[in-house]
Amino acid sequence: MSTSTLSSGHAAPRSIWATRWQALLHHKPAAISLVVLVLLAVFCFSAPLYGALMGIDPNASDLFERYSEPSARYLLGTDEIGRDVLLRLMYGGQISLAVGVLATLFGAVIGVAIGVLAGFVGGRTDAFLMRATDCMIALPLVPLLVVMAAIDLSKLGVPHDLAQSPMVSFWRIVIIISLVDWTTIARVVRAGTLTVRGQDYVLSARVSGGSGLYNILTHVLPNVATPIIVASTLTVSRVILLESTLSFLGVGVMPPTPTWGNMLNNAQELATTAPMLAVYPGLLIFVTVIAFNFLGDGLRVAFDPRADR
Amino acid sequence: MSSYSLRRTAQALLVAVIMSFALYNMISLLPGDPVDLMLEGNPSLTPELVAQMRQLHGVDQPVLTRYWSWLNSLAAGDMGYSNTHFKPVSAVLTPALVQTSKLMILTFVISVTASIVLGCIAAMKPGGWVDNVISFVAFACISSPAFWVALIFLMVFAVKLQWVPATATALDPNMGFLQELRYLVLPVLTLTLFSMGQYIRYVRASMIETLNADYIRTARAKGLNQWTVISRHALRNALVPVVTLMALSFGSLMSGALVVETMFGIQGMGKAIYDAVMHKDFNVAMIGVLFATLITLFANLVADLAYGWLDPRISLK
Amino acid sequence: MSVLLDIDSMCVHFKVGAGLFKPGKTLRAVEKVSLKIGENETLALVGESGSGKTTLGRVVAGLEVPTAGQVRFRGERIQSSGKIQMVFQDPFSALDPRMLVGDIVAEPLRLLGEGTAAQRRERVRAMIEQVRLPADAADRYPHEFSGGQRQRIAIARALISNPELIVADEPLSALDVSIQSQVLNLIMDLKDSRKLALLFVSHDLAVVHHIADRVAVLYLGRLVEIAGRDELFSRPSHPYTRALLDAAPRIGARRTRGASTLKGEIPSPINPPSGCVFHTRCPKATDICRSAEPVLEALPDRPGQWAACHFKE
Repeated sequence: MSTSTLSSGHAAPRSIWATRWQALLHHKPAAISLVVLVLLAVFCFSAPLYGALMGIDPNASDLFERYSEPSARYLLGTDEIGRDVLLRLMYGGQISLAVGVLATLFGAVIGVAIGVLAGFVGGRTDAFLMRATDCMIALPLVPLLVVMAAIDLSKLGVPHDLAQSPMVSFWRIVIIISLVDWTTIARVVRAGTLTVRGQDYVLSARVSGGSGLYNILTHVLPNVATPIIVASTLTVSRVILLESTLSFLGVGVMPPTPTWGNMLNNAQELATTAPMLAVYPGLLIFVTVIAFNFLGDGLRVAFDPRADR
Repeated sequence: MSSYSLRRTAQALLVAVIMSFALYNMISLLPGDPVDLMLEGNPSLTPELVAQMRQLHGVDQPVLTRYWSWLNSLAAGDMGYSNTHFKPVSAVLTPALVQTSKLMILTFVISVTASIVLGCIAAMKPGGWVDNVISFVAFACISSPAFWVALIFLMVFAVKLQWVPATATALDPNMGFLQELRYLVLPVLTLTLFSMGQYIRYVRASMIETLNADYIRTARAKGLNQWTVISRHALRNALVPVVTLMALSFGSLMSGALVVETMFGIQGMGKAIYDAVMHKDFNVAMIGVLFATLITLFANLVADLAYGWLDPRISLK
Repeated sequence: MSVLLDIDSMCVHFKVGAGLFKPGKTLRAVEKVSLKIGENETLALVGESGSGKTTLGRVVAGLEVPTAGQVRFRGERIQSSGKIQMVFQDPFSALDPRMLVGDIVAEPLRLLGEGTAAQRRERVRAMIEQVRLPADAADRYPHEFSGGQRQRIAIARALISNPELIVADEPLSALDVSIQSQVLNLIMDLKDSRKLALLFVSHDLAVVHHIADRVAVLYLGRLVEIAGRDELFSRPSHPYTRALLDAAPRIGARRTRGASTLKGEIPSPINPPSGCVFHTRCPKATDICRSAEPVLEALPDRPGQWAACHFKE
């Protein structure tokens, strides 16, 4: 480290984030993925606009138009009860992305809490929490989620009508997925917390009276922010895969609310009658997930110059 | 070393008990209860009779009591009765387990072999175009939804090309092994791609790290060519962490199996669990999910112990 | 000169290696240490790694709690009052890379609730000038500075709350040799101008000779010798002190005669040897050393020098 950096004191400090952003853009797959994801979001969230423009109601079934070929009005054709496939793909994307982001967010809250607790308190608490995390990672998620998704909420005291509503079906999926998929974030946060905890600047704060909470908020969290972001991006892709699998199996988001997964509900029928309809939803899932994965990979490299490629 | 194994095993048992209780609670929260199914065929039952039946079958008792009696029966070897198949649960799940095992073993063997080969090839020249292609393929495999890949395969190979049958409902256990294979090709292929994605990345990363070690450079300096270096020296050391990682991905394999069995109509554990949950067959669901969970936790335990055994640095902790 | 810091029979023990289902062992980091530091006095704490000197320093700074015994600052328990501050060894881990230097230096003031934001800014500016850093340093990030400069920032942070006692834990060890003297001179100037007491932990006897008024020698958590600087360097009493001086570059007023060799390595603080803990490596060890632990006592003819040895000279 040379002292010459200070001699010309006029340059503003180069923000760490600006450097990182540049590094990310250098990573080609990540940069492309970012563009793809932005386009995808625009595609999905312009659904109401598109619907209004074309004059199509996404839920209107028209049995005379079942499985019709792509036309000027129905750009990708119609599905088994005559709904426009393209519009449903757009709305479905909204739901799938929303579940992805929300479940990751809630899972991140759980993961950060557990990771910070394990890393900061250490000792038996750490050992216990890490065992719990290891078990969670090892579990077969889909069978468990199938059971959790099928739980009858009215047995828990939720009024019957509410239990069947699409709102609840959406939030149910968000919550159960976030309950099982916080593990990557927890591990990453714990590692970061351990590193930060061993740094002298944390000790220095304690000498002046900084409590554990102060240190966590002021020193730990900003320093683990980057690994959290990377882990969250990778979690989103896993969440989207889980949600689509569950919806496909009929225990996720319930029809008529479309998601990319439940549009493949009657897969066997589609295979023989309208094969292309079986391709689109899965293709969109694939593109979204791989984009998030590449983005996560790129973020990891951009944020940590020492990661080997 | 043995105190470490004892502690780990004790922890695993504790976790198993906690999991079984948690599962029991969740299964009890599924719609309906065992008495409902008996009621379905009998509209003339009065509410008093229904209440009596509930009491008779212990359905109205608190969860802990029911769990305890369930645990006791299980310890005695009684896994309960399936009310959708009209057979004891063991009679339902044992053949299912056999089917799933066939699927998993085939998948495991093929995916492990393929991943090791491809991972090593990729590791030989990191950053080269071969590596980039293999890495991309691995990435794509992890990013694809298993059920969609299964569907595509089904459409291409079974429906369009008619090379293999579309569903395994015609699968007869008495069929010859070769005949059976025709039904298993697509499911195994799907699951293999699914697991290969993960394994390739592990093998590649581990191999790259090992190849950078000093003792490898010594071997190269001695004049040995790439392949000898890899197969004789690097492979064993590179595979140590990989083997354990593979054991740890057992859970995701079971998840994949559920999806694939349901898609292709294979009467395996995964499909049995799914059907049971959908049709309110509580006993099958409970035992099925419990078994799937326990076996993954067991694989986890074995991996931990094996890792401690294989890597002397760990066991000394 | 009044007593600022009074340590009385202090022990610091740690539990190590405890996990789920596993009890831990006891690590005796500091064992029955008593010493005092007066106002504006510099006491050097010397020893190998594993001697407990860092742990002792941390207790004084309030980072660890003694398992037994007492530590009193001006008669009261150690509290975070800003009166005691600490400077650490590694300049690269002492500053939060995500914070601006100005915020780093101001942190003690914020934590202690002193002053308004404007007042703090002013005090930071003054402090940065005092440690001889450029005025715009406050608006920069730590990674823009060299090791020596970071240590100055750490010193500025330690001094901003106007402490009376500074615990310096090997503040020069991680710096380039050419930078060490600059930083040492800065510390000494600040110490004189602010009338600071200093608990200077170090293993570098050349530096200790330069800065210390008194020197305390620790071995495996026990205080084996404490004396004025000149007495310690010219007439060391404890065999361990002699061995340290022999191993170090020649600084003292008089060379010690004959090389006293130290056998073996420092034992584990989890399983300390019986009797005098130094007996396993001492050239003078006899049966009494193996069985009875010596008491820290003043030498009969030199009241300011204390040693814990059955055969002290």
